[in-house]
Amino acid sequence: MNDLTKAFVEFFSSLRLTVVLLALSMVLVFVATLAQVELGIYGVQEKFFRSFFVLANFPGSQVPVPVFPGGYLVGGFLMINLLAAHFTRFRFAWKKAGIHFTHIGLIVLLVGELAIGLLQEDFSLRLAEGESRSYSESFRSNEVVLIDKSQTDFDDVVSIPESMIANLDSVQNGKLPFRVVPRAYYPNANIGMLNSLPEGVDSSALAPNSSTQGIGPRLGISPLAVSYNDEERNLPTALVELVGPGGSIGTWVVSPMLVAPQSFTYEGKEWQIAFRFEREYKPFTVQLKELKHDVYPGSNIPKNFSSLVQVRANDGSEDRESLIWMNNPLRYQGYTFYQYQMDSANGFSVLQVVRNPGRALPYIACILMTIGLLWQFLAHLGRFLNRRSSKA
Amino acid sequence: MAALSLITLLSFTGCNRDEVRTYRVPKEATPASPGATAANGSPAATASGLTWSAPDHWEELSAGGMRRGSFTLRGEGDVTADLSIIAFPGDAGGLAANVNRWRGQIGLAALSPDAVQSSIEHADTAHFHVDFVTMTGEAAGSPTRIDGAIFNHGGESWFVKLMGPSELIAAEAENFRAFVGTIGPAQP
Repeated sequence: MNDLTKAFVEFFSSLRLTVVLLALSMVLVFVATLAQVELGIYGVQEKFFRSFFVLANFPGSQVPVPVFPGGYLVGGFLMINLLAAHFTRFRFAWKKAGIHFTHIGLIVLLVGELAIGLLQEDFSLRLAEGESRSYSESFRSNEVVLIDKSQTDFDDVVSIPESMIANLDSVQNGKLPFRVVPRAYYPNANIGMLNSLPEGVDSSALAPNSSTQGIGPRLGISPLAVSYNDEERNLPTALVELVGPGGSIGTWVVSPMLVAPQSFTYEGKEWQIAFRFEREYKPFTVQLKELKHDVYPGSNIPKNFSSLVQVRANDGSEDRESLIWMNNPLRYQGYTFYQYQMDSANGFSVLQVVRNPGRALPYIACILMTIGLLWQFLAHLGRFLNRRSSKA
Repeated sequence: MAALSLITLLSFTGCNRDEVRTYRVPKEATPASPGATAANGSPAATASGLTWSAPDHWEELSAGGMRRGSFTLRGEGDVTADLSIIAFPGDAGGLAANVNRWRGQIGLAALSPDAVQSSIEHADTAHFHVDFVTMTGEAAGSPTRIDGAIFNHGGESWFVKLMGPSELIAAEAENFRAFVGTIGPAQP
């Protein structure tokens, strides 16, 4: 081992590094806890924990600069530190097996957090009584979709993520006979009919609207500040131009506030364009058969929310009823459906749909660490009792 | 070893979901709600959970664009009227602005908010409090009438508008009121 490699290994396996990393993670958790007031839980997770560096804008500019190591960096180094220490300093021995188990548990916990951060999906499924849906909608992400409606049995959908619209990236796709060119993007905006703007809205304060097609020319766009409140959802608005080989086809105003997609015809085919909550289609359909919202007699205090749903697999392998209520989710095909919200007056139920392939890892980690700590404790206890009995 | 772990970690986070996706989905069927069948016509339902039941002689068109529902009413000869059901989030600019928008479409001058309020007939259907308006003006050189109904449901303002030649609308006025009365949340 040459000097450089030796120094490298020593650095990564040192106990000092462990202490520094633990101190950094404590500071990170403390600052992130305070930041929850401004950013909300989701914002904090993304900014502090699911990132390599915590970024802040350079004073007086919009240029982000790293100011503190993020969760992935601290967690990643902790894992490397632990592995390096094992390979260099620890030698396997049965009396030390407890420490090994505890450390393996810790590694599983770190890897599990990474897996959850990258793989967990969290969607909502909003159903009116009697309605069936085979897709759920994202709580935060949106998509611009172009739907080819020309077939009789199915629709071909091209979905462009909001991030590409936000970057004003021009999109060309084999399924589209035109280019999609975002011209403007507002991460949160209100739209209203131009001839019936709410009182107090100054029409000169509206964002420029260059739309030529659909309902767009009749709309006024007033950009709003981005909200970090977990209870609120930002509703973006974009101006999207479609450009065919023969030139511009037109520019549309799109927003999740426009509840129905806008239709147009191009080269004899019917198309729809919409900016909507990102959808994830599933290989099964969920139908809301009945919702119940019981209250304690003589009060408005909810006693029980429940949704009776029928789950039908597209391939016909499953067709069953299931009752979902608080703390009693439906688990099906790797998804977990929780009762999330209910609007019984209007006959709506909202289910939270979670898919988390890494969800077993924290449990496995805890079991491994418990076994390790117990082993270590019992080994010490055994040695202590042995010593006492031999003294006696 | 350490470098390898770091590279693995970095490459893990390198994969993101921000790319264009294409997929094929079955056409969304508009589910007919069994509870919405009324005596005088065929039921229809919208994706937003409202159902209604129209007289048999109204011709239903496919809802598209901003429309949640759409009908054509035929009178004698080639005379037709158009019925649209549209919903906007929130208060959609307020009652006065929307009534004045309709007035503008048939060449009538805008009214003050107070005058709009006094022109409204309030009625309660089985499900909603509805503001009814009636106005007669002129469009394309012939007498034109709008019968409208405005109500709130699910955080949206709903506008039901029947517009066409005055005589035809007058003849259908009762059917229009009855139709608005059938609009309600889908029943299981």
